[in-house]
Amino acid sequence: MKTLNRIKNYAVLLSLIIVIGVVSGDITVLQVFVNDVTPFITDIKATDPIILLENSTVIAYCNATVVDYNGYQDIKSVKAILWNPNTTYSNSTVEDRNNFYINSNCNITAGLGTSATVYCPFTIYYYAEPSEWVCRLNVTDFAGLWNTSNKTDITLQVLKGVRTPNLIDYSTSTGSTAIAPGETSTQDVIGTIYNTGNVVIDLQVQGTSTMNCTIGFIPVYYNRYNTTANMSYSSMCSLTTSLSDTCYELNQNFDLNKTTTETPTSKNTYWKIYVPTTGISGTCSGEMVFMAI
Amino acid sequence: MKKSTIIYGLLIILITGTASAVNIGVSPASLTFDNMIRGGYSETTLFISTSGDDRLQIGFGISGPIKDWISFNETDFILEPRSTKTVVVYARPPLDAASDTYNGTIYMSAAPVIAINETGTGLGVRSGISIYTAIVVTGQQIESYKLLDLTVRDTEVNSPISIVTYIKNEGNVRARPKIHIDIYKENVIVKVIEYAEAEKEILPTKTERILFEINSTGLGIDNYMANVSVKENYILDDFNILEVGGLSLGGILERLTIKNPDIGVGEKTLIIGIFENTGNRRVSARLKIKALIGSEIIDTLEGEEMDVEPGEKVALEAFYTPQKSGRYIIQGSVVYSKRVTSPKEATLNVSGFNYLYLIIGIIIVAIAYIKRQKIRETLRRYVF
Repeated sequence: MKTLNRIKNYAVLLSLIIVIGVVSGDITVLQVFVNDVTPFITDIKATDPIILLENSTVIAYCNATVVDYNGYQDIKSVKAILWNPNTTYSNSTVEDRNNFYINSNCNITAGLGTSATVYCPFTIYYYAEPSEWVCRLNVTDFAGLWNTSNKTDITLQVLKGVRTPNLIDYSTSTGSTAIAPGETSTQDVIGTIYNTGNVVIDLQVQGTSTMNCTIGFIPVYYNRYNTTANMSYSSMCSLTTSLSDTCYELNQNFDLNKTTTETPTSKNTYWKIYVPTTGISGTCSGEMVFMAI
Repeated sequence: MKKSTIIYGLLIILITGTASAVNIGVSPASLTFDNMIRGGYSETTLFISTSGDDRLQIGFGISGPIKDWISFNETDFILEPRSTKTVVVYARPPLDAASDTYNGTIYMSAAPVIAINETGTGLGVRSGISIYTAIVVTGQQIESYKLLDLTVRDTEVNSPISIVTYIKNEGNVRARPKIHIDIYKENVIVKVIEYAEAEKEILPTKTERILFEINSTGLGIDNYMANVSVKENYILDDFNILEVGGLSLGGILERLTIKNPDIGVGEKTLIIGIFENTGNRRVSARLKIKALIGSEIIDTLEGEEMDVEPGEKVALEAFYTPQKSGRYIIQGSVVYSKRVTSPKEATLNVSGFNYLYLIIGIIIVAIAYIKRQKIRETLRRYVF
């Protein structure tokens, strides 16, 4: 830092145009003019990697030192953009939250001599595209002179996120009518899955315990699911105790796209159950897993 | 009969199912432990987050041939609502692993604590995320490390020069980095230290803060530039050699906190003092505590001593086990290099066991029991 200041001082001297004027008799006239000098940006430090939070936001920084040899007070403003270079760069002034963020008024701290530190925070949404991002800073001084500088290869990490129901509640499939022993539920129970990360997800499901009832039990495989509504029980997929048994519809074809707007993308799963003819009474409870893959 | 029983059972599901959704996220979504040697070590971090309103019970499972090679610093814990947690994942392929790429999956699952403990009925859902994981085993040993940052501290004449480095081991074997230092005065080399070897080893994939101390023999009072290189990368930093006594001492106790401010008599609690070395000389610091009730000093205690580098901020700790109930004022200050910071205070509430409440409770229960017996006796007489 001390060396940097020394270099800056030399540069200030070099940036002066010294005109030695008229020398007449015993009188020497010395005139010194200071030109407007273009400010520049150095030592950009950015949050790297940027680690996103599920269905939420994080603050990422792109900070730097800005130098103006006319004095740091000559720095008018610093603007920063953070964008995914795999997309077309635009001069937009509006963030799209997927690939482009903007801070048009970075915080310039009180400087020392010719340099000041700038802090440029960005609020990054969970669905920002995972990639190597770029931060570009642009400094403008009061004379209208400006400069830009980039920091590349800022990793925005992949976030796999999911929101699932916490209960597959078969009572909603019965209405006022009960599931009679030996019958299946008549209406689908809907389990809505939301993508709260920044990558496409498929699903695997697994029954982790038999549904134990006050008397008796319902085997895991009597629970059935599909991704299409109102299918007959017989044409739905059986829940098993192994994730790898998950049907193609969920395992490979669910394709729940990443969110691109404020509302998380979602898809429904549909569930039915069969109640054995004998040996069951009371309350039944079991457990299952929705695994985002 | 069975029909209606099932209806009632299902209604209970509606009533007791309190949480509505499980939110969980993991970053990154895949892990690759590259270029690992047999019997080697590597680590990385998973960032787990939830935006939901429920406490989640988090658990891990692993499948595939890497199952026994992967471990975690924590495998079973509670994730609080709207919070994040980091979990360190360790990879240790065995000595007999052949050179190859081994694939597997880490499964993380999350279940609302309330559903596990209280719902007890219905088809409860755990939400999970799979993390594809690969371990690449190679027979080639790679020694590679990188200098990420450094600071050369000012010093006094004839005192050692401290160089604080941050070095990352990017190879697959333990590293004991060596640094080369050229010291310049006005662009002329005035001292060269060929190699200084770190006392500390760095495990593969880890970054360590390593302090090198080199002698300043032959360097007078002045400003210098140090070019410090570690393998092929280097960083410049300037420093001063000052006259004896030129380095200043300074430190502040920023705040004092008590980890558990409400405890019972005989329970241990942790007192933490955040201390910053504001001088430019390394100091040894320790937390000194006075425990007062009112103006009476009940106890005094001291924590462990810790070295604190200039500019460094550390948490100094001291444990306290009060033997008396009451509302304590915990007054702390930091002692460093024969100096003491201004004190800071925190409150500690210590509750004792009150036998009076126990006696009252026993009397109430006894009266209730006697009255109950009398009522029963009266009823029995009335019936027969």
